[in-house]
This record gives sequence, structure tokens and C-alpha cells, in this order.
Amino acid sequence: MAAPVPGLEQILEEPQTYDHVRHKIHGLRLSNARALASSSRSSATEDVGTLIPKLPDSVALHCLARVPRSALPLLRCVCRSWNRALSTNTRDIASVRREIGTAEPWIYLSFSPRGDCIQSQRSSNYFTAFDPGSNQWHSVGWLPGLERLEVLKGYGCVGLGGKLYVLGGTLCIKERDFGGGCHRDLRVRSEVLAYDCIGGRWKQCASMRKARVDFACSVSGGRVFVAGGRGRLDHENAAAMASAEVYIPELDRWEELPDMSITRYKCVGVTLKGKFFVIGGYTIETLHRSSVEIYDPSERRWERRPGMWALDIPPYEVVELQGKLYRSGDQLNHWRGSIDVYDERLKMWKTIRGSNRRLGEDLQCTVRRYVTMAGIDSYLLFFGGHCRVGDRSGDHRPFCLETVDAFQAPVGRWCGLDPFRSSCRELCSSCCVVTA
Amino acid sequence: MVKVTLKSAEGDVFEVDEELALESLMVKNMIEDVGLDSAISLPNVSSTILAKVIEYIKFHMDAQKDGSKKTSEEIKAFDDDFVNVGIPTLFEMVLASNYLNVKSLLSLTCNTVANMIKTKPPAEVKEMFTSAKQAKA
Repeated sequence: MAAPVPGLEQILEEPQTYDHVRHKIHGLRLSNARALASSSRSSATEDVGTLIPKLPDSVALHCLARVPRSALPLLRCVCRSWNRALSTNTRDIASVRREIGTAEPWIYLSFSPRGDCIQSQRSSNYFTAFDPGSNQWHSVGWLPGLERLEVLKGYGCVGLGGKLYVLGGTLCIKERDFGGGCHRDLRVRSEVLAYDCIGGRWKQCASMRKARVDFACSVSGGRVFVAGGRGRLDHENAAAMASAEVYIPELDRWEELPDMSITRYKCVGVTLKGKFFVIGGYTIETLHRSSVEIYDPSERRWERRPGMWALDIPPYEVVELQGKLYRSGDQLNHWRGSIDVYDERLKMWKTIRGSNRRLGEDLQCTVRRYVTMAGIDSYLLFFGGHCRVGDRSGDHRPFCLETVDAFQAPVGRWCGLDPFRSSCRELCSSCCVVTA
Repeated sequence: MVKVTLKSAEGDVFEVDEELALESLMVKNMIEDVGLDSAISLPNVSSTILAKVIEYIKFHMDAQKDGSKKTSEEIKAFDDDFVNVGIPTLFEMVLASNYLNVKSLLSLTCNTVANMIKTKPPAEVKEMFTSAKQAKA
């Protein structure tokens, strides 16, 4: 069993959302509920199930698993056995949802307060999920275990088995200012946190063997792969790593993998046809910045492919969609005006016809601070974080605006969804898709 | 056309086409194991529910046949009407389709239960299931 996340208690003490309070109350009743459930099972053989009277649990789960994801949190209030199935012991319902195809992909994004709002609130990472099926946002909550003014940056995040994993990264203090927010770094972390997207709970997992920031991570064959990154922030390349490791969720354990051929940081991880690609990144020799390391889990070895990234600037995000790799920009410019797809036959990146778009630039008096992309079905979704800079009408109240644009890759068509306006939070990291 | 004899919990005998009976994976396995000579007894399914399951399979088999004039609206209307029953009956149909292993019917009935759950506030959901329990007891 993993140790409770430090600071989680405190968070529960602060009733920020209805969900938080509810968890706390149900947590207390849980032990009673278990005792009750086991006694009722032995005494009443007529009522086969603990979830729905008259239905065996395996069949009742088939009913519960067909409820839309957004309605699941409310079902925890129905009774104790439902609360147990939907908050603490979610493995069964998660696997039924995957099996019958009712698992829905949501995109998780992390927000932090705007530079000028810091003193009035916590500045930690706040997670929010976007449901592309209904175009709705659902709040998830603060990343647990962080002090009031600490922000986690440069971490890895992946979705696996209905859970959102937040890995490593660097803790820093975000100081009040009126520009982009200035940061003071504290330390690089090796900790791993998992958020159960059905149960709505954070849990601390086994830490990585090495502390890492700005590393590559991706999921393949039910495991999380990480590679490269830096162990400290003070010595750029000297602290860069070639090491790689893999997380096995069933065992809650990290295992070492063979090293990559060279050290890399700010490299990007993506999985294509079961292989873990570590793309570009800063390397000691500039020549290698365009190369890619590919790990084949079945052969347990790395292979270096030169020239695949073809840019000196390290990548920012590469997304796999229906067996193809897509990119929209690099570290310096997250959005270069169009989308590129990697052609494996010609071994080069090609701009997709019709993918040119001015992402959010038609919005008045705003500057774009952030763009992050996610791939779902045949769509590439782009989340843009925009900050208002004031306009001529004299209205200078600042706000942030999040935009969502979707590109249907095979057809080459764009569609925009409604912008999402937030008062003092801004998008602060890349996103990740979790299907649950 | 080969006929298959199904025997409900009450002992009532239903004679159906083999093609129809094979839609139930459970009956299909039974036929493979014991052959067609004797009646297949289904002690977990009552006569009324078995009649409904047969009606469901028959309608969908006809609808899938070439030259069927049924529109998707008609099929949906049939399904909606089919599951428009009281909770005790609905649960019996869920159980029967699970036991007989009729995937499409299990999915239809479970979806109906899920729709009831998702549209009601938690207190009403609880109420709904407890009253179903008492009605039968």
C-alpha cells in the first residue's frame, strides 16, 4: 500500500468543492460500509448483489459502467456499496468500461494563477478536465502535497488504465509579478502521483529511481516509459541523463532500462506501433539534437535514428494519432502556424494541407501564452491559453481565455469550440488524455 | 428448418427455429454439447421473460434480413417499447440476457438501467432500487 500523500489531509480540511467534502465524509464511513456489506452478504442469500438488489455484482457493474463519465461522481452518493465501487475500488468498473467500450477520453490540463493574482490565492497546479464529447469542463482540484506557493513544472504526465500519472518535475516558487510570472526553482522531484479519474482520488505511487525534469515519457503496453531529462537544474548539460526506466502499475514498481546512447533533456516521448520514441532534446553535441532514440520493449534495446526531428530547436509536443506522428511547433514556438505529419516512407515532416490557422489571434486584445495539443480518435485538439492585455475602451481588468480548436486530421478540416473564460488562472502545462 | 425446443423454469415448452436459438451463445454452446435431440432446459428463465427474449431476437433477425423494410426509427421504437416495463421485469430481462448470453439484449437492458440512474438524483435512485427489492420480497 502506498503511503498517504503528504498534505492531502490539509487539502481535505479546506472544503473547496462539493466533491472534496463528499470524499471526506464517505472516507470516514468506509470502514462501517465494509463491515455492513460483508454481513449482509452472508445473511441474505436472496439478494445476490451488493450493488443492485436482485442483480449479481458482475451484471450490476455492466449497468453502472454504461452511465456517462460525468454522471459517475454523483452516483457515489447513492449508497455505500456504490461509493465503494466508484471511489475506492474502481478497478472492476474501469475494466468493464474498457471492455464494453463506454470508456470516454477526457483531456487533463494544469492551470496556475496569473502572475498578478498570486498573493490572493494558492499558486499550485490546479487540474481541470475537458470532455470533448459534451464540450464541458470538469474541475479536478489542486495537485496534492504542494505548499501554497509552490508550482510543479517540467513534469511528465500520461494517462494509463483510467489514471492520470504526474511524474517528476521541478518544484518552484512562483513570485508575484505582472508579466509572465517569475520563478525560483527549489528542487527536482522523483515523486509520482496518480489520479484515479473514476474514483476522483490522488494516490502516491512508487517514486522513479532518479529525480527528473524535462524528460520524455509515454505509455506502451500498459507501462509508463521515461527517459532522459535533468537531475538538477544548475548545470544544464552536465546534469542531463541518458538513463531510462519503466513503471509497472500492477506491481507499483520502477525498473531500470538500458541507457540511451547519449544524454538528452527537453526531449519528447511518444509511442508509435508499441515502440517508445525519445525525440530530439538538448544534447552535448548539437548534431545529435535532430536525432531520435527508439526503444523496442520486445527486444529491450535502443536504436538511434539520425535526422528524424530535423530542427535544432528541441520539440515541444509530438502526438500519435491513428499510427501517425503529428507536431505543431517546437520549444520556442508552440504553434508555428500549421500542423506537420511525419511521413515514415520519405522520413520527413510534411505540412498538412489545410492545417494553416491563426490560433486565437482573432481574439481582441489578448496575447497567446500557451498552446498544447492532444489526439483523440481522428481529431487533434489544441488548447490555447490567452491573456488579456487591456483595450482602448479603458477596461483593463485582466482575464485569461482558454480556447479549444479541433482539427480533423484525415479530412483536413478545422472546427472551433466555445472559448472558456477563467478569472485568474492560466494554462501552464501540456495536456494529456485519460480514457476512463 | 430445424427446430430447437427450449424449456422455461415453469416447464413450458417453446419451439423455435435453430437460427433464432443460436443468437443465444449459451444455447449455442448447449446445442454443440448435447445436440438437438432433447429439449434444452433453462431453469433460470421464466416463461414470460423467455417469451419476451424470443420476441426480441425474432424482431431483430427480421429487421436484419435483406428486403426488410424496417427503418432505424422503427427499430428504435421497438427497443424503446420493449424495455418500457417495470423495474422488476427489467431486472429479470437483464438477468436472462446475461444468463442466455444475448449481447445485444444485455446491452439494451443495461443501458436502460443506466439511463434511469443517470437522469435521477441519488436519493431517487436509491428509492427506486429499494422499492424494487421490497416489491418482490
